[in-house]
Amino acid sequence: MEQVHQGTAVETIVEPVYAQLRAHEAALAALVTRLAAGDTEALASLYDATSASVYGLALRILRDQPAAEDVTIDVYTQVARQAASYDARRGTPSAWLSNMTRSRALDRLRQEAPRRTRETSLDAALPLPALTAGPEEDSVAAERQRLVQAALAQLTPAQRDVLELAYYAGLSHTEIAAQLGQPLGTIKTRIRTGLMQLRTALHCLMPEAS
Amino acid sequence: MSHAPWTEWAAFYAIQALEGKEQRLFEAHLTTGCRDCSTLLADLGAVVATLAWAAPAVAPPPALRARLLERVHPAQEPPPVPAPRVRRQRTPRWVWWYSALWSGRVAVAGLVAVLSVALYDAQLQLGTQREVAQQLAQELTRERVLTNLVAHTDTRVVALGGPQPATPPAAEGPGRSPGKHRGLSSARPATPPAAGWLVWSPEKHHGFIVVHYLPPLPMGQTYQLWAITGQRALSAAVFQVDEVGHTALMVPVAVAHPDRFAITAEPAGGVAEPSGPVLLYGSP
Repeated sequence: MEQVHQGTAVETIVEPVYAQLRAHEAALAALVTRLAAGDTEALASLYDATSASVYGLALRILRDQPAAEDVTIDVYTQVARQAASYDARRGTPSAWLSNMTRSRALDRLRQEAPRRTRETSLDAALPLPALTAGPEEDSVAAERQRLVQAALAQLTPAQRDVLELAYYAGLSHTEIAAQLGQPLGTIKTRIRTGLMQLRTALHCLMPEAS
Repeated sequence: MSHAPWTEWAAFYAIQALEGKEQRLFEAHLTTGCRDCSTLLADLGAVVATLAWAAPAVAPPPALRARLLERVHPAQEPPPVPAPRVRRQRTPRWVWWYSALWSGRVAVAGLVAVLSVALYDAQLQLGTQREVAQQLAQELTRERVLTNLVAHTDTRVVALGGPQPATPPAAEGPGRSPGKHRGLSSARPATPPAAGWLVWSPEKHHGFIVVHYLPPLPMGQTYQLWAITGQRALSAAVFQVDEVGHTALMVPVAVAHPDRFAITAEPAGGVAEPSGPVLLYGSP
């Protein structure tokens, strides 16, 4: 595990857990299908399987428990309404949920604080949690979190900073440049190279990977 | 980076850090059906989604589950509001006023609850409806432009056909693995020949092109439409086709009365002058 944290062996640990992750996503997809067919119990099962990730992400973005709770409710209500429109070709159920959660949390963030005064310091967007921190829904989620954190650990701190400001604070590249007092070109390069490096490091987690 | 700035912008767009004019330009570029950018964007979108998993999972308060289920599947029969029937007997006036006041409170509370639910529901759907509305607005704009184009008095039409059955140009580059790009060396004999048509308005300087059965190109290549007058070829559009070789898009036609139109296969991003094989052409 220590090796992984140092970013030297992400690929080597993916294989053993990859099938497990695929099975996890397949189970979630089955719940979404049931939900779309009108199975009301499927929503509760989906919530039980994913709510810690959804709530954890909302909390990370909003840093406010009541707001994160509202967003969590909103997300699953939207899931219940739009289950029939879920398209597996456009992403896994987990990605669908996380995109929805991020979008709603950032909307809430923008409603509650104008961008100019939003608390977007690195203290708010960072730091990454320790590998062992936080309760997990199950071993799959824990393993997935560990893989992503290991991949992030391979980036430079400057790359991580801009990606996290973009992802968790919802800032545009110009806003990040202003926030960090760095040239826009530098910020653009960090975003692009950071994402490309993550793409390489995490390609086994991508939907098309076999 | 012959495909700059789209490749770079795809990364910013995927993490929603692109804004303003660049965002609009990139979205317009996506509507041309650029396969390279669509593929890259899908990949990077999946990468961005994984960032969510770096956040620590936190179990929500237990009451949240019940709150959700109550919200989504409210009980079929809400607990009845006590409504004691007043019997026909003399009731002290203060009791009547008190009852009226209490009933009023219950009614107001019920009304507030109903309105709150309605407001919540409206807000919830607003985001979704906004996205749908934007899509519809874009489609409507395109439809209007197309309608105006077709209905214009000077609109002209040209059919596009192949000099020979459309075959992919320079299919396999060095180091390219066979079969990686479908539809090249494995062209199905049953596939109809490539064809298409183009309508354009010399006055409006734009047109609309539809093509069918053009073979998907290898990575690094693109189709390019030319408006040719004499020996001079002017690039009108760079585009890709879908799995069945189809595309339909608005194109600028800067030349009022070209002699002919041609579609060639060129390096990604397009070239200043046609260099690849002509796959479709037509003369007005």
